[in-house]
Amino acid sequence: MKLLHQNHQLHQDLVLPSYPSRSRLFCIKPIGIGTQLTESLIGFTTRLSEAHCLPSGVLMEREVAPTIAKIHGGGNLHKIYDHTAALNGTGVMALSLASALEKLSGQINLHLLTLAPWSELMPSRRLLRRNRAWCSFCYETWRITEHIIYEPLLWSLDAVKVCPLHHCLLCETCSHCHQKNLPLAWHSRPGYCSKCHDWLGLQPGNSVNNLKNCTEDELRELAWITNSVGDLLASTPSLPLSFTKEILAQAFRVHVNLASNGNVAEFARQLQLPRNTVWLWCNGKNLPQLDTLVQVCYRLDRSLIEFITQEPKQSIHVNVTNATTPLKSKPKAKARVFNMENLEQQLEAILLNHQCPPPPLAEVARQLEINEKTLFRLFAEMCRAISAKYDKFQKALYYQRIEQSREEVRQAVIKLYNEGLYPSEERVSQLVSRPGYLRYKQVRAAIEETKLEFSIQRIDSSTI
Amino acid sequence: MTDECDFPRELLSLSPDQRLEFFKNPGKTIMHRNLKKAYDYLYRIVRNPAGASLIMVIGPSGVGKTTLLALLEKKILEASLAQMKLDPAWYPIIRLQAPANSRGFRWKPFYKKIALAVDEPCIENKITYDEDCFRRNKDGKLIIATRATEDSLYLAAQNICLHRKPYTLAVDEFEHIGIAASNEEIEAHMHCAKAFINDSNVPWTTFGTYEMLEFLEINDQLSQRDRVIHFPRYLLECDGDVAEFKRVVEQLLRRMPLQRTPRLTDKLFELCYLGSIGKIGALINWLTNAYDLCLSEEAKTLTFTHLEETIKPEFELEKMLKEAEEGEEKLMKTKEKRKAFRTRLGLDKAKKTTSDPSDNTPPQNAEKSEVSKNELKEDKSSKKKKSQPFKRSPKRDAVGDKPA
Repeated sequence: MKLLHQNHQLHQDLVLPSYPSRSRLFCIKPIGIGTQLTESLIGFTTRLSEAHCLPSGVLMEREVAPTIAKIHGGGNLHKIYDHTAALNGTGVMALSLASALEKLSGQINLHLLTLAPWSELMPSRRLLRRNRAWCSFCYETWRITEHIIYEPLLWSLDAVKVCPLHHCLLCETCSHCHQKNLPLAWHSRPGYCSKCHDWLGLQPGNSVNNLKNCTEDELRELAWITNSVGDLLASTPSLPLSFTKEILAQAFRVHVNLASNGNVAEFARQLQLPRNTVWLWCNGKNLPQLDTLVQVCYRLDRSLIEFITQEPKQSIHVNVTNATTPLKSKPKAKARVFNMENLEQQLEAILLNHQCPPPPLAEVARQLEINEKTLFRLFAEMCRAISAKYDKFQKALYYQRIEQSREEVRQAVIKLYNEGLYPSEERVSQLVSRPGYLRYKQVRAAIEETKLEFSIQRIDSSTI
Repeated sequence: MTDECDFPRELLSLSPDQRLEFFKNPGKTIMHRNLKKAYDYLYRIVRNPAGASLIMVIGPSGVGKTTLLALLEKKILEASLAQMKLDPAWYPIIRLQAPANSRGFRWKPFYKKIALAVDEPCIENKITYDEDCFRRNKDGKLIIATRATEDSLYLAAQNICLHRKPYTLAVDEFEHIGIAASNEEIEAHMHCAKAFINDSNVPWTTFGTYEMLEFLEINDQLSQRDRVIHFPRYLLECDGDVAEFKRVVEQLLRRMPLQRTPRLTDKLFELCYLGSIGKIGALINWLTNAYDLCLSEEAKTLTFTHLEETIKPEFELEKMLKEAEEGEEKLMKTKEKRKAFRTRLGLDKAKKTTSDPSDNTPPQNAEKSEVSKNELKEDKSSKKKKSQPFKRSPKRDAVGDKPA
């Protein structure tokens, strides 16, 4: 009876149920999505590698690179060091890293950690910093409050100069080793220098106000810009899908209408910008760089997000007085005018001058204070002649040296022979003035030739 | 009942190897009472540890502990399927075997096994950002150790527990910690384990022989948060055990693909009990050997001769029995032991003392398996008593003192 009672569980299968495959990497949550301090994708990567106790480079190379499977760069840090900033950016590098990490960690929507959602609005020129930047006050605060140490996306933007919380300049140089960090390096770790591995947070007694050179106006402007860009990043998750270039052009047109009754030239004049530039913006033919756009917004006293999405209620005017820096700081370089005849004569003189050794073209260009490429473009024939002359001389010099070396080798072999030593390559090399030349076949052959001449044989060496 | 058989008839026409393979790995296990009891209790604790951080399943070798672990893993996985779909990084259970090393237990391979169990990437490249990985050479250039050190693997294993959030880390053969170790070393090992559990916040479920009792004796600090589950063999002294053991033997015999299923006589039962001293796992292994012999002789059925040929020599059986009895002695709770202990505490005349909350579990447990006999109920409660610091059972003292 007991048997029957237990019958339904007499046996138990030992076969494990099949379950969905587990993610290869930990499913770490990104920090601050939807806030000004949204985490950056690079910061997320470094946090992920720290959790796995791996250097970021190893994680990228072993796990991410095969997932991205690209021949050029992809996840291989050594190939993309110069461009690692782009991993936070608007392009395909950011997107492919995001999707690779999504696949590996099971986390979703990692593209929100990059600027990719804003790719229609932000041209990549001067968008991201080349070096890693950080606020040491933030790091220190997080460490003390045991908050997770991470890198906000905001810090990696070139337009952002100050920390939105502490209103101090972002640092780019480690206070310990005085070096700059790449945005993503082999040994990147959140909160620590990737070069000397020291803590980047504020050290006690190091609390110098790095903004004391700034006026109050400048400070206000920097803070305003940071805030405005931060708000834009905070709105990333709620971004309308249909966000296109046209919206920006539309926004410009609306503002031109309200500020100067649709007079683009007048609007441009008020902004102290070239009229054509503004016209191209209004027509959606060109996009302003993020730093320029945010400067324009500052002059209009409209935050970036307001500028793009909300139509202004009343008339607005451009306020240049509150801006501390001019919009266009660098004037266009003027085309240089060359005195062609003079140049030609100088080149001729150099060609005819039997100066020894003849100078290479680069040297000539330096003497004439003109770019080598420009010089070549203007006087291709003469440049070739100068180069040929230089080459010819160098070649002759080379043969001369080889011949010299052969003679030296010969002398060395004879000397060794007279001393009763076997003329090994090593002994010879110690006696000649240019031992490196023994790498050339002809020079090395001189040893054998001389040996033959004196019929020195290997057997001799054993007796010595 | 004996006429029934528990195998597909067509097996009889297959090769002996295939028949043996079927008997060895039928893909299922016989659920017997002690296994079921330990299994239910263990599953409940693992899913809801209630402060327990080290669950120790203790039983003699060959009683079926590894099977119990396999069942536990299966049940946890089954119960977690829905949640696993939602959380792709979650491992509901991490299962590994404690590594054995002739020179004693080593933690580095242990951490490595944790990492391997969850398919952790780049195990050989683990680093910590501690000083042991970073040093400067004489020119002041920073050198980073690339090889995984014990510290870095410790950290990595801990991060695995923190991020994969399993219900438990199940360690089979946990008695390996005691290999070639002095009492101090065992104590150090237990401290390591405790530190790991505290840091990673994942309770451990360990499976091992009665040797694990030593760990408890040595480190009473650990006893604060451990939970012992006794997985005993079947004893002849109690009728329920006899009936259950008989049932299992019968079931095993029916599963042998043979022309004629052997009848379970009293004589056969006695032999089976003698050769396995009441341990189901040992019984199965032995029967497998006997069945193999039977197949090689192309006999129609399993006979006494097959069993006698393959039974273990007496000295081995004796050793097994001695180990089992010593362990049981320590874990079994009797009225005399309790009385003597009360005397020591000075509670002799007092009525039933206020019991600690953990005492509530044994009655519930006993309810579940009404069939269990007195001493089985007793040993359930006994482990609660064991886990009290400074509470040393007088009987056990006698055992320990004499050799000393």
